[in-house]
Amino acid sequence: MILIRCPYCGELRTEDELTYGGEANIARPAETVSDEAWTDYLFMRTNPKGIHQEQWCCSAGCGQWFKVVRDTVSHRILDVWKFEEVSQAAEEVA
Amino acid sequence: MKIRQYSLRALALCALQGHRDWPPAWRTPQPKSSYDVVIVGGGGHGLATAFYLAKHHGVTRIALLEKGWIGGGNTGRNTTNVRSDYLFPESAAIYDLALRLYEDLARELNFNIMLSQRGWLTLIHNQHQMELAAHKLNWLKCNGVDGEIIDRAVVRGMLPHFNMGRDARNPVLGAFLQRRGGTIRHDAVAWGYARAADRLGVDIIQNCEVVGFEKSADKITSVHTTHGRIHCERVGMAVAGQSTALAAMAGFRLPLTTHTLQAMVSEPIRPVLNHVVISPATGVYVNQTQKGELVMGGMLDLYQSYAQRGNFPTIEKVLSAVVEMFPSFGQLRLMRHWGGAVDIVPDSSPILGPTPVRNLFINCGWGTGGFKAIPAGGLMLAHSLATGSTHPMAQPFGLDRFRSNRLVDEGAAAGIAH
Amino acid sequence: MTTHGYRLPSGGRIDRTRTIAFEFNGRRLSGHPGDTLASALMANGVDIIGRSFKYRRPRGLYGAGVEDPNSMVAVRDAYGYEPALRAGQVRLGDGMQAWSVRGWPSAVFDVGGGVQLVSGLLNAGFYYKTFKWPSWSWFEPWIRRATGFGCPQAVDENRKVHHRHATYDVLIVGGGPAGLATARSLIGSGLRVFLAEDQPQLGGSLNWEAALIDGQSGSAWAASMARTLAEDSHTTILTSTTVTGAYENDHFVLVQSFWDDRGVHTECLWKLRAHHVVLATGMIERPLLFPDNDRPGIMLSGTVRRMINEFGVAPARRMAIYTNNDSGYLTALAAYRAGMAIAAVVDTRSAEAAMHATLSKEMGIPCLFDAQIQATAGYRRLATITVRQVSAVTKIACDGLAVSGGFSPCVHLAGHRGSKPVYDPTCGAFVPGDVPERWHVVGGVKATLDLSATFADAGAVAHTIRAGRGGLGSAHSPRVDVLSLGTGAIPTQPSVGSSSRMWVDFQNDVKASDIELAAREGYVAIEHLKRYTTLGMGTDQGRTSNVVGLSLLAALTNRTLSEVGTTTFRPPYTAIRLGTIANARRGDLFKPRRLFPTHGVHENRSAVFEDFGWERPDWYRSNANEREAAVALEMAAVRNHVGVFDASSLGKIEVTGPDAAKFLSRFYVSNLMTLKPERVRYSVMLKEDGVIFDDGVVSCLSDNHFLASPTSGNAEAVAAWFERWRQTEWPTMQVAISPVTANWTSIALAGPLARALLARLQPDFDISNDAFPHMQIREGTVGGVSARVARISFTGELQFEVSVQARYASSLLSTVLTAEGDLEPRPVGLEAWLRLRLEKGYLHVGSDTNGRTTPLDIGMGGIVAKRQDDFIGKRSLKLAFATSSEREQLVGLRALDGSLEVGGRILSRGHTQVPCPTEGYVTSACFSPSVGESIGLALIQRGHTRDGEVVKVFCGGTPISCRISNPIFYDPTNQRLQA
Repeated sequence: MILIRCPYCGELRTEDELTYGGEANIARPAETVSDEAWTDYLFMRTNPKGIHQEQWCCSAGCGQWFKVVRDTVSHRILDVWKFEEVSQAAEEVA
Repeated sequence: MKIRQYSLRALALCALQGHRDWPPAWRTPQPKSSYDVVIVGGGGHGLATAFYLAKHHGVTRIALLEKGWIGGGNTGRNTTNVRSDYLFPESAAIYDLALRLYEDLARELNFNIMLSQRGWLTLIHNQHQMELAAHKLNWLKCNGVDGEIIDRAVVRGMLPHFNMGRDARNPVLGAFLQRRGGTIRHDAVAWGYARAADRLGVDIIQNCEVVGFEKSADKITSVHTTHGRIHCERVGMAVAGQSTALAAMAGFRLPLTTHTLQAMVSEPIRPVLNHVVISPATGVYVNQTQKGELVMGGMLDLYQSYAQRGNFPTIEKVLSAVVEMFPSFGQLRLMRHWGGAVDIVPDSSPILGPTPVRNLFINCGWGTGGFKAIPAGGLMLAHSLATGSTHPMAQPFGLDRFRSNRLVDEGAAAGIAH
Repeated sequence: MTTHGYRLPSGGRIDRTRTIAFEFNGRRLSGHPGDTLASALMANGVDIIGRSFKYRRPRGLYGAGVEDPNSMVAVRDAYGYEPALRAGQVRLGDGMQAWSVRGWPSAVFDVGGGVQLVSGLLNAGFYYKTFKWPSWSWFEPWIRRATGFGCPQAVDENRKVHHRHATYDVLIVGGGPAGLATARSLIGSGLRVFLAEDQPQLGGSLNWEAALIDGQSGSAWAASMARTLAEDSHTTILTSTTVTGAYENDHFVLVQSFWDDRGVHTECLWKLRAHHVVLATGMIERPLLFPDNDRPGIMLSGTVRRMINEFGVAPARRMAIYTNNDSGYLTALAAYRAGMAIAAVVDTRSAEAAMHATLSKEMGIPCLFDAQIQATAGYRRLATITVRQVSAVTKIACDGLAVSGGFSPCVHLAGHRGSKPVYDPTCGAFVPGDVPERWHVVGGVKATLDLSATFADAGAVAHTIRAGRGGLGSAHSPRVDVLSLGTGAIPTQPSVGSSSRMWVDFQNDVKASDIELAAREGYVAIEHLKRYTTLGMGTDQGRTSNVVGLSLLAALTNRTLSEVGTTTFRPPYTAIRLGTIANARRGDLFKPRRLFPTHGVHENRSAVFEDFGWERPDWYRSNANEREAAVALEMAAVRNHVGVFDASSLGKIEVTGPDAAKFLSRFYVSNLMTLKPERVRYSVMLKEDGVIFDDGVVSCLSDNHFLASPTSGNAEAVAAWFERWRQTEWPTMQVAISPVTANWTSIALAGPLARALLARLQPDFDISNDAFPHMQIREGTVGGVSARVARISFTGELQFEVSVQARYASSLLSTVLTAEGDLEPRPVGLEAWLRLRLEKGYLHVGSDTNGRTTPLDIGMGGIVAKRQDDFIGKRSLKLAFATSSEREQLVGLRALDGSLEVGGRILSRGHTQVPCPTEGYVTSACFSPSVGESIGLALIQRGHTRDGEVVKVFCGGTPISCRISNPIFYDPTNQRLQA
C-alpha cells in the first residue's frame, strides 16, 4: 500500500486516493528536436529498481500534482515536495 | 538402468524399483569458460530459446544463466492462461504460433505440460463490446485464427455459477469464445523445456547472476557472472522484470517500465468453473486449476514497482469483481496472493530481435501476456541468435519501431488488457 | 463409526451446564458451549473426519487449529454456508451442520480409497511423465473430478460484513503470554495499543499448558490480564481476530469474527496501520516422520494437551507419546492427570537428554529411549505401534499417539514483508531474520520456549517502544513457576521404515519418498521441491509439513537447513472469505450508476437505458415497441420535424483567465487564439504520440472565458489532462480549469423545426438564422432561466443545444417534449443520434478512431499544416510512420450488395476469401433511411487516395462489395444545418 502525505493539503493519502503520473523531470522538448530525441521523450524512462523520482496527484483530495522520491522495491517514500520546490533527497540521489 | 523417456510404461517399471531409476531432469553443470551462445534468463522464454537453438539450429555450446531457480520469475507466478485471439495480424501470427507449438509441446518435450484447452471466454457486456467482438471475430477469421461469438443462453450454460440475474451490475449479452484457449501447468513448461534442452547439451546454470558485460567495439566478448567470466560469441536476453537493468549493463536503454501484476488463488474446491473467463468491464479473469483452486487476476498496479508481492487495494478490486460475477464464490476463501514484475512497453507488445549491441539479441516487453507466448518467443530469439537476423514474424516487434512510432497497440485496438 | 464418549468428567473451559446439538454427516451429536467442532467431534468419538487429497487415506484430527492439514469440513450455521473449514477453526454453534468434504459414499467408507492400490504409480510428478498420449484432454476431466474440497452452494447468506479502518501506535499480534505481557507493560505509556488474538479467548497456550504465574494458574492469570487491559482506555483488545497480512508502509489486514450461539453472524475486515508491531504469534508444533504416521488417532502432542485441558476431551483411551523433545513428557503428564492410560513415551533421544523423564517414571509411565517407531497398525484408527530400540522391538497397544518433533515459529507476517527467516540450529527452528523497522519479536515466535524468558523479553520490548515516548509507564514482570517446554529440537530424520509409508504433507499426500524422488530428479531448489511434489500447497499451506520436508531435502542433498531455506511466505496467514473482502460491493454498489438529472422524464417516456458511464436512453418505447422501429421514427423526427436529445453527459470544462485561449490551443489541433466571443469551433486533441485522444467543440464565451466540450466518455479524463499540464508543465500560465459537466444539463433540439421549438421557450435573444448562425453560442434566458444555447450540429440538421443549470433540467425537458401544436417533438435516443451523425459522416472518437489514428488519417491534415505553433502531439505527426503507406485513413463506404456491419474487414486487393490479408475495417455502419443504402465509415489503408474504388468487405459471411466514397452521405453542402 502506497502512502503519501500530500505536500499541498497535508493529508496522508493511500494509493486509492492518488493517481500515479510516471517519472518526474522529463523535459518536454521543442518541436524542432530530432526524431530520436522526441521518441526518447515519448518512450524512454529510467525505470530504476530502487530510488525513483516520480509524479503523483492527490486526485481524491486537493487535486494537486507533486513530486515524490520512492523506492520501487520497498515502496518507501523518501521525500515529497511541491513542483515549485527543490528536494534535498532528490538532489542527493542525482 | 536409468530410464530417460517418460511414459506410463516407464513409470510402471520404475515403480517396481521404488522409483530409484529416475535420472535428474537436468544436470547441474559448472559453467565452462566459453560458449557459442549465452542466454541470460532461465524463465520460459530463455529455456525455450535454448531448446530451439539446440534443436533447430544445431548449436550445441549453449549456456543458460539463471540468477535464481529456473522458472522462478513470471513463468512460475502467472495465471497460466493461453489464447491467441489477438487482433493485429502480426500479434495474431506470433501468439497463434505459440499456441500451436504448445498444442504439441507435451509430446515434443516428452513432458506433460497439461495443456487444457477448455475455452477462453471474453464476456460481452454492452452493444459497443458486441461490435468490438464482431470486429475481432472477423479479423481473427481473416488471420486464420479460431473464435466465435456465443449468446447469453450459451454463456449461462457454460457458467452455471455466473450471475445472470437482474441484480448483476454488468449485464452479459454474450461472450467471445476461443475454444483453443485455456490453461497450462506453468512450472511444467519451464521444467519440460529445461529437461529437453539439457538432453540436447545445453548447460543450465542456476544461481548464477550476470553482473556485467565485457565489450569490444559494439560487441559483447564475455559475460561476467557470480560464477566467473564466460566468453561467448552471441548473447540472448530474456529477463522479464530485469530487462532495464541488464540492458543498462550492456549499454543501451529500453522503452519500458516495470510494474507489479498480481494474482491470487482460492482454496481448492470441486470443479465449478470449466473455462477461463475474463470480464472487460472489470479486467478481472478467473479460471480453476486442475487441483481445484480458483486462480484470479486483474489489472496491473499502475505505479512502477519491482516489489513482486501483492497489495490489498488490487486484491479488493479483483475479488469484489469475482464475487459480483459469481456470487456463490463469496463463500470461497482466498488462500494466497502474490505479484510478479512485468515489463510494460508503451504499445503493450513485445520487443524482439537486435539491440544496439551487435551480438546481443533480446526478448522482452511481453507485459502481462508473456506466458502464453513462450514457445514463439523462444523460437524468435533462437532464430536471431543462430542467424544474426530477425525472424520475419518478429520484424514488426523490433526495438526500432519506437523511432518511427509504428507501434502495435493491441490494447488500444481491443480495449482490453492482455 | 463407533461412538463412545471421550468427554472427560471434568476440566476444560467448556460450559458443561449447557448442551449444544449439531450434526455431522447427518448424525445428531452434541457438545457444549466453548467447544470447537474439532473438540466436539473428538468428544463424540468421531475418528475419521475426511480423506486425503490423492490417496484418499482416512484422516482424523491432527491439530487443534489452523495448522490442521486433515479435518476439512463443510459447515452450515444459522448465518451461512462454508464449503471448507478446518474443524478446529469452527466454534460449535447450536443447530450447526457439518459434512466431510472428501470421500464417497462417505469419509469412512470411501471407494476412492482403492486408488492406494496403485499408489506406486502416483508418486510426485507422475502426471508430468504420463497422460501425454493421445492428449491430456482425455484424462483431465477424470482427474479434475477427483480434486477439491467442498463446493460453493447457492444459499442465502445472512452473514454481515463490514470493513473498518484504524490507526494505532502499537499492534500486538497474538494474545498469548508474550502478547499479554507486552500489552501490560505498555499501560501508562500513553500509546494506543491494539492487540489481536485469533482465538475466542486470550491466553494462548496458557489455556492448556500447566503453569503458575504470580501464584495463579495460567488461564486465571490470562483472565486477570484481560481484565486489566480492558480497563485501560488506551488498549483495544480484539479476540477471534486474525492478522492475515502485513503490507508495506505499516499496513495490516485483520479479520474479526463475531459469534453467537448459532454461528458466525458478522465478519469485520480491518485495515489497520500501526507504528510499532509486536510479533507474539507463538509456534506451531512439528510432526515426526515414521511409517504410517497418518492414521486417525495420531495427532500433535500439543493438541492432546489442548484437547484435555481446554476442552475436557480425551483424545484416546490409551495414549502413547512419540517425541524428540521434552514437551512430550508434558503431554504424558497431562494425559496421566486426566486419568487416561499411558502406554509409553517413546523418545528418540537418550535417557540423559530427557529433562522431564524422571517425573514420568515416578508416575509409572514407561519411557523408551533411543527409540523410533518403525510401524503402526490399525484400520480405521490406530491400534498398535511398533517401537524399535537398539536391542529390542516392542509392540505397544494404543489408540492414540501424541507426536512432537519440535516447534516452528509463526514467522509468516514478517515473511509477508520480505523478511527471510533464518535457521537457528540451537533450537532447530526458523526464526524471524531482519524484521522491518519498528517491528519487535517476542516469545515463541523467536523460539523462546521458557515462559520467564518470554516475560523478560516482553518487558524489554515494551521498554524499547516506551523509550520513544519518554519512557512513561513501567514494566510488569510476572513470577513464573512452570514446567518449561524444554529446549526445542532439531528436526529428526528417521532411520527405520520405508520412506514410501511416511507422510510429510498429510493433506496432499506427499511422502518422504516423494521428496527423495524430487531430490533425485534435481528438483532441489526449495520452490522446485514444493511445486514438483505439491508439498505445503494445501489449505494448511504447510504449517506442519514444510520444515519436516525441507529438513529431509537438506539431509538428502547434504546441505544445511540454512542453505535450503524456506519457500516464500505469502498472505493471507489464514484464508479469508472472498465475500468478506468484497463486502457490500455487489450490484449497484459494485459500481454506482450515474443517472441524468432528467432520468425521471426519460423513464416516463419509457426510455430503454444503456450504461455508457451514464445511464443514457438508447431508444424510447414511447416511440415504438421495437428498437429498430423506434430508431427509425426517432431519425425521421430529426430529419423531418424536430427531435429532442438529452446531451447532458457531454463534457463541459470552463477554462478561464487571460491565457485561456493560448492554453487551449496547446491541446487542440486547431488554433483557438483566433476564436472570437460567441463563436464555436470543432477540433480534435491528441496525446503526445500524435494519436487522437478526444474531439469536440470549444466555445468562446468572452475573451477570457472558454468552454470546452469533450466527449461524454472522456469528460473527466480531459479535465484531468488539462489540469495536469497546467500544473506540471505550464504553471505560469494564467488559467483556471473548472469541470462543470454535472452542473449543467444540455438538451439538443434538432430538425427543421428546431428554431420554432426553441422559440416556444421564449429566449431573450434573437435566434434568427442571420442573428444566430451555425457554430455560434449565446448566453441568455431560455424558458425563464439563464441558459447557454449553442448552435452546433451532430446530426446534419439545424440544431440548438440548450444548457441550463441541472436543477432546471427536468422541467426544461418536460416543457420541450410537451410543446403543443404541430411541432410534435419526439425524444431521440443515442442509437438514432449516432446513426444520424453517421449519415453526416461525423467522427465518433473511439469508434471511428483507434490507438493509431492521427488527425492526418481523418482528413485534418490541412488544419495541422496551417498551425505554426506547437501543440500536444504535433511533433509525432512528423515521425516516419505518420505518413506511411500502411496508414489507415477514414473514408465512407456504400454497400453495393448486402449490408455493412461494424467490424467488417476490408480484404486486400485481389482477395475474395478468408483467411487473407486485410487493409482496414468498418468503424461505423447502418442502413441509412436518408440515403436509402447501407452505409458505413471505415479506416482503410491509403483510403484518401482510393475514392470510388470497389472493395470486398468481410462481415462474417460471404464478402460483400462496397464502394469507397466521401464520408459525408447526407447534405454534403451543409444547406440544412445552415438553414
